[in-house]
Amino acid sequence: MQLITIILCLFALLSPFGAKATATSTDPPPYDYPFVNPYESTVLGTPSLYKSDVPAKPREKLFEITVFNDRKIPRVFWYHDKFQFSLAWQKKSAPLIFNIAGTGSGYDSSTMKNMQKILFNAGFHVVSLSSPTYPNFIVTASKTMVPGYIQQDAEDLYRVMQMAWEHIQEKMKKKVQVSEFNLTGYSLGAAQAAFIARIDDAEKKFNFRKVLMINPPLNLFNSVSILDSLLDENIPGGIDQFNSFFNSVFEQFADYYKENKISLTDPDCLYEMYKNSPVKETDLAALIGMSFRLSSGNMIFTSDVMKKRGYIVPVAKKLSPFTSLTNYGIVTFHTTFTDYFNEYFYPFFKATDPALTPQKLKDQMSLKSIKSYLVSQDKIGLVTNNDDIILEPGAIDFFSSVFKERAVIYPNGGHCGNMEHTQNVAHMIDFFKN
Amino acid sequence: MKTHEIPFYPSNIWPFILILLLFFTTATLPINAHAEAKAEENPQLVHRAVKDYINLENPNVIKDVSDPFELVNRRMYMFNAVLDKLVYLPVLRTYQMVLPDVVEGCISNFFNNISEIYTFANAALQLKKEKATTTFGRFLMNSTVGILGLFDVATIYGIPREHEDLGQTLGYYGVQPGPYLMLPILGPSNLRDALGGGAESLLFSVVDPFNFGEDTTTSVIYSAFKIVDSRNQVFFRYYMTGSPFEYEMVRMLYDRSRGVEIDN
Repeated sequence: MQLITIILCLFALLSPFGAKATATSTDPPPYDYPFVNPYESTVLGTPSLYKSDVPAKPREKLFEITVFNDRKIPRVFWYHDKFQFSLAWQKKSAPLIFNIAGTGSGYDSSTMKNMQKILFNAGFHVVSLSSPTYPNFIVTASKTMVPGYIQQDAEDLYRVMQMAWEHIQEKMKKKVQVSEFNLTGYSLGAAQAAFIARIDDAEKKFNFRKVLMINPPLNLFNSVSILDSLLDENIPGGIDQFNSFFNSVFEQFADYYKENKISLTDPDCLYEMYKNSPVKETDLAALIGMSFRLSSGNMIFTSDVMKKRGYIVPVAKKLSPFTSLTNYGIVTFHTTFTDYFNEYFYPFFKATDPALTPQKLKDQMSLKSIKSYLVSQDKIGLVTNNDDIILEPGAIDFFSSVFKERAVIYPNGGHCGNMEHTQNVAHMIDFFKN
Repeated sequence: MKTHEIPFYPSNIWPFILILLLFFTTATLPINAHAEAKAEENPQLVHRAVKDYINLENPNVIKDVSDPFELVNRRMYMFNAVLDKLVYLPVLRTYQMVLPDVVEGCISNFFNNISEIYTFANAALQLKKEKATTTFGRFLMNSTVGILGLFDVATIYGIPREHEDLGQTLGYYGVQPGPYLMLPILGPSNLRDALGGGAESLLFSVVDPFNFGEDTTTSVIYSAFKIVDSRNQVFFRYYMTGSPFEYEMVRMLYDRSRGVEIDN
């Protein structure tokens, strides 16, 4: 079981939305995040030399709530019977930060845990929420169960945030004293945070003092198209040759393992491995694409089972908790987010709004659709990187013109690779404290 | 033999596992197979049909592991997950709460030190001289300077721990993995590794290196700590990925990782 654990962890680390744990600090100015290749940044995250020291384990509690009383959970998803989230809490009155995970990630993914640790140590309560694209969210907390429509996902998130806060008050018996509410999210979670802030301005349930968007996509559709193509375009011979690609990457790992011991207690194991036996850039890109495809596949399959739309699973098929899902797994692996948009997502929303065109729907998945709101809101800040791989040309210009001095744009860091860099962390804490 | 020994004592876990396997196989297999066959009659009502994506000559990496007992294995996966949730993890949380991290580390070191005996024996069986020598050295060092293995001084001195087991030895001599098996309590395995693990446990109880003999209390305490510690050392939690295809991922990665371990 030892090696499989290592590999599972490495898989988790490989997520484009995942970096790793703690260690020592260095002194900053000029921005010294080490990787200039955005694919390297995205996969390898921040080596511990460039991270702040985060000492204490958060005081954490896990919760489960039922969001929709009338929701029937299919037997195949028996383990997703309730919506799960976590709270890290301070013993004295403190500001609370809601944190929303990136595409396909759960409240307890490694990036979420690291952010929780950082924010907890900076004196905040932290509520960690799964992405609306994460299976547990789709099954238990999504109203339409068709994720990707940011406005709707934001409404779902806003609902669970209120329920989560009520639940915390009830269960913790006033032990958690909140002085004010804040909101943050990374990747897709960052875009959703902006939409949630807008909803809250109308409903005034939390009156967020500060909202920080970290590495958001400008237009969700464009970003996922980029991620889709990373897999298809970087495997020699295309997706049908995925097996030989996977085997070759695995062999590289095996060769490395033969020569070196990998220890998961070393937060830099992936970095060390990469330093000693670098992977080709196209392979890195394909791995990012693979990780995204696995996440989006989970999402598409889960949505299809919940909606019984006969997209991947035949309508008449009854799935028990013991039915083999392997073949469906293969089908979802061959289904891109773009396919999902054209064949599933768009038809679903078109059914309720006959005037809806694909372009109109894509436009609604963009931060441009709430541009005037973003321009006017001093409480909303943005952090991104000049070389973020999920951004289309022109996105950085849009961010700087809309957010002006509220945008912090680092020269390098890829997609979320530098989130734990000393300077990024210092800025994040400073943003919420001032 | 007292009944409460059964789930705790490693050498006695095997009959229990066999009974569970038999129970799950006979009790549920035929009914479900029938239901599956029935549902397959309506494949046309689907946008992306499985048949369009399955390449029998070049099966996807998640499908290339032999898993004829999948129906039983999936039941066992669920069984393990429920057992984890209701028994194993609550016990583990209490264990982690009560004991300081340092003590937990010492307990892990202690059991790891004992497993050096298996590593040594298997390295010797595979005629891997270097591995056998370093393992023997580690065992001596940790058992003495490291106070009965409570401290892993060998690693501090730059002699990393190796791992070999009977499953690996069998694989080294060309024994094929056989069908994938999801073992109750113990988790992912295959026929070869399960037989290897079973034989090692049996040998442990026959040789009885700690001289437990008739002293059931001590052996139960030993086994209980061993079981909790082994879970404490494994980071994996059932359904932790949230993915509907976790079973497939674990199966594929188990198979691959054993392949790598055998090659080493």
